[in-house]
Amino acid sequence: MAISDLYADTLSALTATRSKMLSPAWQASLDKVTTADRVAAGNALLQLGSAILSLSTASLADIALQMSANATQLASSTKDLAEALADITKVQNILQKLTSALSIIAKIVPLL
Amino acid sequence: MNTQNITSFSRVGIFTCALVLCGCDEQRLSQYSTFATAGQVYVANFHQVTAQAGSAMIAVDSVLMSTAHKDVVSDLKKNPAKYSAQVEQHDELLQKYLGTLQLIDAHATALGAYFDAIAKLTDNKTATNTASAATDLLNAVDSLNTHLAKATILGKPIADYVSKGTPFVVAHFQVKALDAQLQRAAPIVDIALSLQEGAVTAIGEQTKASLTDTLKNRESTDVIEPFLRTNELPANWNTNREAYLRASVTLSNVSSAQSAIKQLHITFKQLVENQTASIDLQTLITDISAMSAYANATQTTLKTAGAK
Repeated sequence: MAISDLYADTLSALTATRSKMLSPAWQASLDKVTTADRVAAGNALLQLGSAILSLSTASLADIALQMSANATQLASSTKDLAEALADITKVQNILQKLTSALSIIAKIVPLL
Repeated sequence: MNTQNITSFSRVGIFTCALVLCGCDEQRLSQYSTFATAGQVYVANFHQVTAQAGSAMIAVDSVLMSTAHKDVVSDLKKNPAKYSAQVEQHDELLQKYLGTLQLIDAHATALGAYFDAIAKLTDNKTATNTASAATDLLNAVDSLNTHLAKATILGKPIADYVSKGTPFVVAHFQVKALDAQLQRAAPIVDIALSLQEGAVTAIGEQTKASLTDTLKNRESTDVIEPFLRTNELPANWNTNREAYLRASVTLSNVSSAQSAIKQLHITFKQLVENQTASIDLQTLITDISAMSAYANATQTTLKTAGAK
């Protein structure tokens, strides 16, 4: 896959995740989980926002090497994330997949 | 439509009517004048487009942060440094994006000032005095072209959003000051208009993505949730619902800015390439009118959102 396509797919997957995590359905799912899971979800959402902003403002030329080095993991983690989002009630599964995707993105752009 | 735009458009209309009455050379000069005025109107409206692009990006991030805030509220006191760093990082990244928008806006402003100079060059009485100022403005546009080409939106430099057009030959014109200016300016203005086209495409994509999420959230929190509560609807429910609906319509018209700059570019090429071709100024005026409507709706939307 071309790096520009991988970039576009990654940003698109992250934006779709943001849409889901800002939806009333996601907040309703969080009403049923423990406080610790809710805090984890909030932290993941903050990191997701950083990842979207970082990727949106980064120059692909500057991050192409890191993207290329992590291409396989990145493609597979965003695919897993998209699949997990199909069932918004499975909060822990979504958080796990999101955290995994964000850990790979953190190798490409700086995330806290 | 605000007063400035109405005034500018009255000028465009007057110039258009004047075309019918003039001879061939005068007609071409008049067309330049119309084009230059249309360019100035485009730039005035473009400021609204960049303002909306910035506000849209900030709005969606603020929605995200306020949602996250509800989720982490129990952890804030335990880890204030962590959350403070998160807010700072978001702010820095937004500032970076706003900086890019500012550069695009400055480029459009310089181009607008140059169009103003071109309009003056079409008038024999002011042409000589304007030539030097026009050259300075052209140098500013040229310099900003270089910076804007490298500015990045959605991973790509603006230069990569530019579709390559065919090179063109500049025709000679009888007004010496205009002719001399165009021989040098045409390639620079061509690049500038291409970059504006690219920038509008890029910020349009970004704005759509940001506004879509913000509007979904707004419909849910301002319209649906209050309606589903069993107590009385809040007093501002009607206003909020209208603001949401109007903002949604505004979003669907973001492409009007793309049509306007594209037509401005086409008209510019027609003007400089051929002295006798018939120039489709009506389409240009129609497209810029649509962009004006979009820009003014945007201004209203931003004001409504800000007033909430």
